[in-house]
Amino acid sequence: MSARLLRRLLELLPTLLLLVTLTFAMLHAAPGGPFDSERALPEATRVQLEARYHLDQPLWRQYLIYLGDLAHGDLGPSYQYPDRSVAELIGAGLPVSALLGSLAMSLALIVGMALGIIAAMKPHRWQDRAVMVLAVGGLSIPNFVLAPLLILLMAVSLHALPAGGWSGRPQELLLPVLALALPQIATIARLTRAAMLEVMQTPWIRTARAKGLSERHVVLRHALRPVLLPVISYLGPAAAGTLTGSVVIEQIFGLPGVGRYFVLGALNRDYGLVLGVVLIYGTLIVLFNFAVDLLYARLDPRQRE
Amino acid sequence: MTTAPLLSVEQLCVAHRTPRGDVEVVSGINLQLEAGGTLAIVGESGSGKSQTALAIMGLNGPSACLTGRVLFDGENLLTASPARRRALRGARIAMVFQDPMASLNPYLRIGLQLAEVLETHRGASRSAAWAEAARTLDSVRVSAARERLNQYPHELSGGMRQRVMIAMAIIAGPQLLIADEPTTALDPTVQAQILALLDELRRDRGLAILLITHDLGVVSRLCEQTLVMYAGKLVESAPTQQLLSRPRHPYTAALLRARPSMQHPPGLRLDALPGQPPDLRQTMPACRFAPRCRYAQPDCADVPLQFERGVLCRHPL
Ligand SMILES: Nc1ncnc2c1ncn2[C@@H]1O[C@H](COP(=O)(O)OP(=O)(O)O)[C@@H](O)[C@H]1O
Ligand SMILES: [Mg+2]
Repeated sequence: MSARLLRRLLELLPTLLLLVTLTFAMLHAAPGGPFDSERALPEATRVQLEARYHLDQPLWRQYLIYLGDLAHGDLGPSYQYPDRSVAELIGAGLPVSALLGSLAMSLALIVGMALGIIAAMKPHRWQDRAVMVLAVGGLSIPNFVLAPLLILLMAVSLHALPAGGWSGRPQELLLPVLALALPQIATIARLTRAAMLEVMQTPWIRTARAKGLSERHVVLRHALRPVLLPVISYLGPAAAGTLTGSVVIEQIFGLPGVGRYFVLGALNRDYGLVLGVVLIYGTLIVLFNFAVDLLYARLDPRQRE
Repeated sequence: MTTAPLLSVEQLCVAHRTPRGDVEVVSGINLQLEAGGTLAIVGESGSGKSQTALAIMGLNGPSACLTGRVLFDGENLLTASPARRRALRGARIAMVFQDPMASLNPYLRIGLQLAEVLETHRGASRSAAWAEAARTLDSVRVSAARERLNQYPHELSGGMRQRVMIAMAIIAGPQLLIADEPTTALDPTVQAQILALLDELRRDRGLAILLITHDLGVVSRLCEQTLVMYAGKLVESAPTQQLLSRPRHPYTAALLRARPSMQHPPGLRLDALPGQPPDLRQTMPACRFAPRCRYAQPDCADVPLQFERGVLCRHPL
């Protein structure tokens, strides 16, 4: 088992290499460089800086140097924050981002599944309609629109919650988590509802009822597991959506997470910083998908060997 | 003096509300079954056999509207509370379905699916319920019963799955077993074994069996009495041997002719019943079978019919 696991993990490496290569190529294809700011540097300083970061080398050399460092676990320096390494910067932002992301995903799973089940238990009744309206809304309003609306309502009008910033208080995360989770809640509710409606039509649910089990028992023990399967397969894309969404949300709410470095890095052509964030997030998504595959196989006995 | 039957269905109608209007799929069925007795319902597919069985279970689904009476041990199930119906279901009235693969939950272990019946109805402890589950599997002759408990349905053969379904139905000791085409999905040798098992359960446990099938060969082995349904109506009722040897309704006779039998040389075309059952949404002639009946007379289509002397026909054979 563990040998197979290891082999499957190794198979993920080419994906990550491709990701790094593409990001590297795209970053360098974009016009401008890290030291072309408005306030022009003296020629000598620029040459010196470029030499220090190997930017004077041909691109393929730079690429190989980057990969070489990476193989030693070194994400390289940041041009913008010369006193700190990319790894340090990401390490500083990661706890905030991880907290935000995992809270948003958990909220999306719990609320999304609960809403989907409620809707499926009362098809075409008001409960179902309400959930579907919410789901369509959650999917059609992008979170960069939703976030300011939430701030306007909860912070500016009602003064109930802080509008942004981060000093470690839980209520500061409430709006960002909500804004990040809502589109996922919508998708998960729809998935759950559809799966639930399908499962409840199966002959084995009829058998469960023929045994005299209570409706609660039928839903929780007999229907829930197969309903989990499509939801779990969606967790991979959901994680990707949450990570990319968090880049925007952290920016809007002024949270010092990884996403903020990503935006700053991209604006300043801080190649190492951007590559580092892409690599970390890419690894997270790939690992998440991997875990989802394992979980999926555990839940469906027919998929096990 | 006669005792009240275990099951008595009176004027049962089942209608379904559908987007294309209401459709009555069972129209005024009457039947009686004594404790420990056997009764078969036969008919082409779509004639309303399963809907009749599900009506006894109370499992026709949310679109169904039921009228008439279903008396079980003197109690009208159609007016019983949902909680009361649940208490009877699985405990005193059990049902076995056609497709044993689809009818078992593929995600749960066999043991759990058996044991939960006892946990629900008897408040049995988990360990007691699993022990009883092993004993019940053993009694329906599932080999290596203890190991089976930890298996999933897909690990079992079709015949084994149907034995598990039967074990699940009888585990709480019901008085009535409804078997809806229990052998249709199985190959012939396994079919015979399952029928023998049902017969044995009837003898040993005094289980009353309501067997639903479209296979007349199955009926003759198991049931004393047989009902024939056509397009939601009862068209003939007779002791099985009499029905097979001297059918009175032309539809029963046609079913018998359509039956493959040993006498037919292989390759010879069977005398299959021509035409289609009527569309239940359309208005139908007084005798619903008249359009397909080779003995039909001009009066068959419009003179209203009564179920008399075991047959619903103006010109019985
Ligand atoms: N939920 C439903 N809604 C509408 N029509 C149904 C429903 N269930 C069954 N029917 C119809 O009822 C008729 C009888 O079905 P059924 O009892 O399953 O037949 P049988 O078991 O004799 O093959 C069929 O025409 C079928 O299409
Ligand atoms: Mg049927």
